[in-house]
Amino acid sequence: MSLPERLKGEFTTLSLVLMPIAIAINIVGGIFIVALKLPIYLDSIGTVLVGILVGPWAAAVTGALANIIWGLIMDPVAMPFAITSFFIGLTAGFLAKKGYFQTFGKSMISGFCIGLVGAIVSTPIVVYLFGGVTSSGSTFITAYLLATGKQLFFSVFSSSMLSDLADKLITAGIAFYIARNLPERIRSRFSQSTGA
Amino acid sequence: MQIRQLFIEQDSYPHRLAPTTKLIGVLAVLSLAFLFPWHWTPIFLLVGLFLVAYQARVAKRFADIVFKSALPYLLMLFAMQSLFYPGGQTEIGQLGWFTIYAEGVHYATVVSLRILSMISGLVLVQLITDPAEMMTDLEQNGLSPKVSYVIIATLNILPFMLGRANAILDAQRSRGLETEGKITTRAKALLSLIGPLVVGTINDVQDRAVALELRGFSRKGSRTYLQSFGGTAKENLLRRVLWLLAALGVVGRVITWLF
Repeated sequence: MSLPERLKGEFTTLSLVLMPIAIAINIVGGIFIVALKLPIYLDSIGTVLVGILVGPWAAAVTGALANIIWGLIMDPVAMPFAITSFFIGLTAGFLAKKGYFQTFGKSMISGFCIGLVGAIVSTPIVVYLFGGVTSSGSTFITAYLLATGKQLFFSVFSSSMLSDLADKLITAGIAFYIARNLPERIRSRFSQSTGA
Repeated sequence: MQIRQLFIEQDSYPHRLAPTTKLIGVLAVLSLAFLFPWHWTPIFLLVGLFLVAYQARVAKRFADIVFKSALPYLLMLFAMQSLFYPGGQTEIGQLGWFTIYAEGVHYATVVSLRILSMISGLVLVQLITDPAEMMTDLEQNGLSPKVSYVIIATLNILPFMLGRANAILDAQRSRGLETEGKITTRAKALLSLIGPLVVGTINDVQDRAVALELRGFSRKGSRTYLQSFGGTAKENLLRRVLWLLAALGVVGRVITWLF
């Protein structure tokens, strides 16, 4: 299938209806994190889930729109990270297509790759746009590395690797369990239903 | 967690501008702030944005929101860069064990002015634009109706999902779900909270899709709009000026690269 055809296959009415729900899951997941006082963000469960159920391009668009909407209603600083979320969705979708969400072990590999991609894409944004600072706690790690004489780029990359990796491993694990436990009646409606 | 609706309805010239004109304005602000080689451009942008907010009679709320969203971030930036800026040469003071470097303070000031302009531009355009009108105007300028559906639907769905999330939290707690204690206990609880939320809402997907299809959602051909925006000679001129300013930032950057 050529790229335009594949794109068309991913953006059916059904998957377009799934996207707002996925974006809302990304945002609302934060409520549970606050209630359970967990030191992670978990803001891409919906994106990864679209990657598993529908495919890479739908997930990429979901991720990017999620950040734009997050920027609109909560924190404008989130908007530039739409690029990061785009690539997180893309990675998750491609991995799902290759079967990397079929077992729990494989979805951990996916989580690792997604975390790595996330850190690679967000580092230049943090460094060049925001002078190395984000509103999350990982900034303290960045500051510590800078204080020990490391370069800004290296410091930001290492701190986002540390914080993103744990986050994306958990995200991938949860997305795997949800996709697997969806009723067959729901899962079979999506194009990439063999993903998990 | 709070969801804010920024738009404030007023009758003013900035309010009456077409939503896309305001977006081109944001683009010009971003391009001048981040790309234009002169470091102090953002000061003029900030003054300009504030004047527009004043004219639109939203100045107080504008200043309030920008201040609140930028402050924690700016504090971190100044603390980090003035103390740990790599390659700092000129010492200008001491803070406990740390030395404050002039280069770091200068760098932090430049970056924070840019960030302030970005936040101000984005906040201002939302304060003076109805989100539904924004999507309609974007659609008329070529944005896919599907994208605008996703955005509008998300904004509509969010309050409902927040309510649902809180209900699930209460329901699971009353069944004895442990939401306190060791970190592994709390992490396990996560699955019993997110699971029901996702499965419950995905269940509605099919119904929504059918409802949209019945209303001709994926029909081919052009749409007729109830509203249209802009089109006056004055506004077209303004749009051209804003495009020019946006281009100026890029051109300025390219020139400094070349020479």
